[in-house]
Amino acid sequence: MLTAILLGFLFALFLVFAGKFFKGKLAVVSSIIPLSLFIYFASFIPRISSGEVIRRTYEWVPSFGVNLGFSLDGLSLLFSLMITGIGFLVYVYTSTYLKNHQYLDRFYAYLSVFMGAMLGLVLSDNIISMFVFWELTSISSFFLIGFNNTSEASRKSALTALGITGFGGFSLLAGALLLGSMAGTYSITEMLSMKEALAGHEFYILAVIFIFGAAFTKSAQFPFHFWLPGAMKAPTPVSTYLHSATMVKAGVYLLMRFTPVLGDTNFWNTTLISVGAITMLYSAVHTLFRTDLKGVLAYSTISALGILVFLIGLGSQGAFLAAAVFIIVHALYKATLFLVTGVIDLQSGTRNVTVLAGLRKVMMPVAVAGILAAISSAGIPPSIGFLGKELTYEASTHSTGLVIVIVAAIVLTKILLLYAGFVAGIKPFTGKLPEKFSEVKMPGPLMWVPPLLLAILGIVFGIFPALIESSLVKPVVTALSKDASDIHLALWHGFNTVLILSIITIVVGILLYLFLKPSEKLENRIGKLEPVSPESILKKLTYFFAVFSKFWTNVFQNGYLRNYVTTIVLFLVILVGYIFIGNSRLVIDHTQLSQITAYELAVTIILIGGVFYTVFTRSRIGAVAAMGVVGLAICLLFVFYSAPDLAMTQFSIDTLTVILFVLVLYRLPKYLVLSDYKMRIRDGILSLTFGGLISLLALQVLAEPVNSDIGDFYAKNAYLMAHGKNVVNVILVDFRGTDTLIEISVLAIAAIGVYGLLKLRVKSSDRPN
Amino acid sequence: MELSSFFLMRHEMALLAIALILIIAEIFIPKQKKSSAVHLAIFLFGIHTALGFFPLEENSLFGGMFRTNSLIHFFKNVLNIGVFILLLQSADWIQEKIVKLNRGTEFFILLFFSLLGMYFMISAGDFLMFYVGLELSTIPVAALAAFELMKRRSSEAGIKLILSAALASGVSLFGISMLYATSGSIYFDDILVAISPNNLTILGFILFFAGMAFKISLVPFHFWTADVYEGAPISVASYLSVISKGAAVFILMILMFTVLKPLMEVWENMIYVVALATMFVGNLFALRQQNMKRFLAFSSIAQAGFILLGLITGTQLGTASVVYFVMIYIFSNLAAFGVVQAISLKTGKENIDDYNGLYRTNPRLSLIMLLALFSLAGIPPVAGFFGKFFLYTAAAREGYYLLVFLAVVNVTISLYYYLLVVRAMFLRQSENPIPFFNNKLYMRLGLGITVIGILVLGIYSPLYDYIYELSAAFNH
Amino acid sequence: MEILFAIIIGVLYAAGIYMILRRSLVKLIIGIILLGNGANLLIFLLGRISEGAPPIIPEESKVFLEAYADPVPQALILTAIVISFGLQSFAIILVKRAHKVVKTDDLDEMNATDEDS
Repeated sequence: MLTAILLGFLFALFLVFAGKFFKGKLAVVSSIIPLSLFIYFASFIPRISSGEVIRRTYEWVPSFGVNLGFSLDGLSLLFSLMITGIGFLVYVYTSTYLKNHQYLDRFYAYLSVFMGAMLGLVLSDNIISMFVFWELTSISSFFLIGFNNTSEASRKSALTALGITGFGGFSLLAGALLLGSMAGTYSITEMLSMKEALAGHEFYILAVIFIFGAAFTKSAQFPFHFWLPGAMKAPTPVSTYLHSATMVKAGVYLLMRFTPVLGDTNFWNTTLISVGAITMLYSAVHTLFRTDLKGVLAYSTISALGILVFLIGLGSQGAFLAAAVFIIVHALYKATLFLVTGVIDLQSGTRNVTVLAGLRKVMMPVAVAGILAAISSAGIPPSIGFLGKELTYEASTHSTGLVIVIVAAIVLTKILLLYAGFVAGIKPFTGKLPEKFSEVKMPGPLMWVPPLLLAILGIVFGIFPALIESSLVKPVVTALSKDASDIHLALWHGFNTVLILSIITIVVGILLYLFLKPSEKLENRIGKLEPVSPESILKKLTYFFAVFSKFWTNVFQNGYLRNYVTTIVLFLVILVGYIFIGNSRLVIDHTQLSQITAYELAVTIILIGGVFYTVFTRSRIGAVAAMGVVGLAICLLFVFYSAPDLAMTQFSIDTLTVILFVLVLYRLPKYLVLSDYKMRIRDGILSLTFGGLISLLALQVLAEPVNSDIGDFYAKNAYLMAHGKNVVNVILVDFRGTDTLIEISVLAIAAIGVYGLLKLRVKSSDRPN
Repeated sequence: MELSSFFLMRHEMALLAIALILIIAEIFIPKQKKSSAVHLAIFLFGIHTALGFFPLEENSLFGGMFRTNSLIHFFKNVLNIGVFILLLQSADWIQEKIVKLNRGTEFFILLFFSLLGMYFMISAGDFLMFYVGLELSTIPVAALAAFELMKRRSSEAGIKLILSAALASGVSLFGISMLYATSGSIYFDDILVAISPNNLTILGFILFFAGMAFKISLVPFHFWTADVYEGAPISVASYLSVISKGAAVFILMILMFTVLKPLMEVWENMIYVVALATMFVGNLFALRQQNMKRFLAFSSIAQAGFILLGLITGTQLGTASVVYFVMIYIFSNLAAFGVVQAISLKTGKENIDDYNGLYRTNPRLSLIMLLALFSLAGIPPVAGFFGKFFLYTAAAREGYYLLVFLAVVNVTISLYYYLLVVRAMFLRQSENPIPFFNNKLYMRLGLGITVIGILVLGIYSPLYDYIYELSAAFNH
Repeated sequence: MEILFAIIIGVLYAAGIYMILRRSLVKLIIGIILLGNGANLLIFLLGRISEGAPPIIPEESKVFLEAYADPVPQALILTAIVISFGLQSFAIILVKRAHKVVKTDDLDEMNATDEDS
């Protein structure tokens, strides 16, 4: 099974190196890949329909419990067959559609990667690997949508699609991680047995929301639907494959996959029914206002996806059955219509429904395909579409809750979809052929055979539903944890409410088609609502976000070092102050303190005076000199308090620094007071607070008991082990010689740095003006 | 002490030897052949990197000042690989720009000394060693940042870096001294025993942490990052964002998981807040950047926020995830910086708009960039995703659901700005695109290794298990 | 005396921070030096100060006979002083060279961000 998934990726890799052979006439040969995969998966039908589930597990990161687990049950089989079957036809179709295209090999490579990812997605049993494939489908679709990347609109929509589905992908990741930690496993099969525990878990709702977030974005549910019509800018084979048959159904697949794990709760069902219903109605209404064939198809696809989500939400056996059949129905007729549209577009140069007519005269087989597909989409017997519609109505009338609302919504949707199907499948072929289309030619057989084949299948399955009953439909219902033994598909269900609803749908739909003609006027009318559409709202949000981020950047990241320092010091003051003032009482034990002698007092006064002079003087030399005095005073303090080594070091370093300063900086410009009064006050307060806190902190430490084992160790062993009497020296050169070595390296490096700076001659030409 | 036990410092001694050889070479190589020093440095460091993989026994030296174990050893190797890639990517720049200034060897010496400082820092067994290692690793980088001194921005970068570094190490030292004052020792092992979560220790820890936060560029200590990255030569920015940050994260993690573990209740909360702030601020700033270097600077800040997800756990899983993430991050970020370096060197262009239409003229470079950005964004199946995934899992296992969720939200935000660059390269067109050019051998190698890393590291799963085993060293 | 020490440290820190917040680069370096001095004194104080007891073993003896100042902080400070000298000298030279390029001592003129790029 892993090989089957990897085949797409391997073929893509192969195309990278051998692509040029597949650009010309040989292009059609590449369709062997999906065809052989289709046969491979079809060979599993007997085993799956007998109730078997085929599993393969490959160890991946065992310490994390992440395995590459794959399972093939009825649900994934149906999707696999769709992916490879329609994939095969699309491969064949593309070889003519993009004939002699400069990057045809690249297109096939993307397509193969997409197919592999899609197969991986539907076969994964592990949510993490499912997520990986999920994102791969988004990425490969990004390249497919943006394939025509000379057109601005195409590129924009590719990015929108990637943005929206990418967002959904991360929602899936969040859901996967959450579910993983809730269930203790990432395997969906293992989660099946924990249904109760998961439904009662405190994070149940959150996990479901994440899964919904992923499914709704991918399957273009309201309010995330808008990326799909945009994505239709892609070449037609892509729209056919990704945007009707496979990728957009991934969200539906996800919902179905998780139905046995997370489904059957109030939250799950209600949300799905509402979102599905809104989506299906909203976009079905939208189809009335479109004149671009692809636009009509895009909105009718969204509507169909809405129906599927709605059916999953209903959650009954009948609803799952209807969903399974409807997936097949939709894949067959919608792919056909897309392929037909592609032919029309390529041959006549337009997709505008208002001008297209009478094309049957020049391309009869295409017209047959289109009309058959329209019949199936309308649910007119004997197509399989009729069966699908009957089952959907059946499930809706048997639902609980607001049955009338539910039934009304679904019937209205179906009526509108009938209209959309007729507009796309019948309108271009009927009527009088306009003068300008008389020269339109019949395409090559590789372009009209695939749609015709799909359309005929739609009728064949309708007449002989037994063909798909136990092989495809029943296993899907079983996979959704419902008993499927009593299911029997038949075209004729007897005379009942459902049939009456069907008749109403067909009659009203056809009337609608006859009286309402698509026109640009209508399209403009809905354009007025654009500012309140989810798309515009999202765009505005991103814009505001960008503006906010710019504002934020300008305020904080303004390039002024001292502003940075101010922020940091302020942060430290608040943090330290909070911990310090909140939790401690300052106790000073006067008996422990050493006496203050007159010398010390004098040194202290000199020191503080020096500091003040350094800060407030206006002469640079003065400041440097005062700083030197401060250093020397510190040196004296070291002497007083038993640190002769420190005193010596401090003395020499202090002197060196002052000399360096004087030597280097005497030629700098005047030592100006640059900041204004207010700023100085502000900085003064900030630094005094900080200094004050440090003082308090120091005092606080002194109240703690002394503990210096390590000091004792050095002191005891300085002479015994290292034969030195000055303990500090012994520590530096013996006990901790390595540190000192590094310290020397630091000085050496500073010296190299200084040398490098000094030897560099700054040429006047390099200077900025 | 046996002479053979010095062998534990093999990495350090070898690197020191290389630096010394280069200093000597600087004297003997005649002026017109200075560029051969580049070959010599890369050759020597290549050997050093390869030899580094020989196993090393676990032990400590000099009474516990210097220690090494298999994880430390592994991490040094990771740093070596990173620096090696960096050298390959910088070779052309050095040969074309720096050798002219007669500073070629100097670049390598400074770089190697900084790396040496990091070795000592991560091998330190006490705070003094740690401190000097920290300083040794910092000062050369400041010198490197100001390397193109004649460029205004470069000297500005140098000044900002050295002043920030001085402040940071001052704060760090302050923290260390407070820890010493309360625990009575500078040795990690002793401190672990003596430490308890009282006010002073906590303050000491916070100040120490603040110092390290400068190096890792965590919010609010991140300000220097963008200005320095932008001004510094690309190689140096790349070094700062990858090697320097990686090493600092590693040592901070070791210290928190071992020595400062008794303070866990304190640092848990703190890291929680800092992680969120860092992710959000990094992402928010990255959105608006026009310059690739600044863009990568902010993206690297956001990445640092993600790393904290592993740091907050205090578990073996966390350690492994952090090391793994840092490793992958090194490859991804070096790939991105490598492309920026290559383009900047040939054309001098560094803005995102300049990349418009890059895919048409330079498909290879733009694909490498794409991989790097996807990896940074954490999109599967490239390695970056797995790095982030393990971090999420590690944090989620400890119950930080909200944090993980917010991290995922941030990943989504980051997707937006990474895509801006992708859009420029793949979807936009330009009147004046970057013309096609071929890279020289070193650059190709440097980019090639990163690509292999990005593609293979994620999928090659035994590596993660291996790191997980090694991580046991710091989690008892 | 400890209280005086604490005050001195506070003053040094406050002055250091104040100087760092100024615009002149020279002041900035002076600020860092003052800060460094403050830090050193702080470490010194934290190691407990004691008068007239340097950590030097008397001539005639092999171990300490009476109380002595803790040698570890002193070693720490010694290291810190030397290292910060390295840092400072480099910073001073860098400022000097940068001044030649940028022609300013004013930090506010070193604020290249997106705005002018």
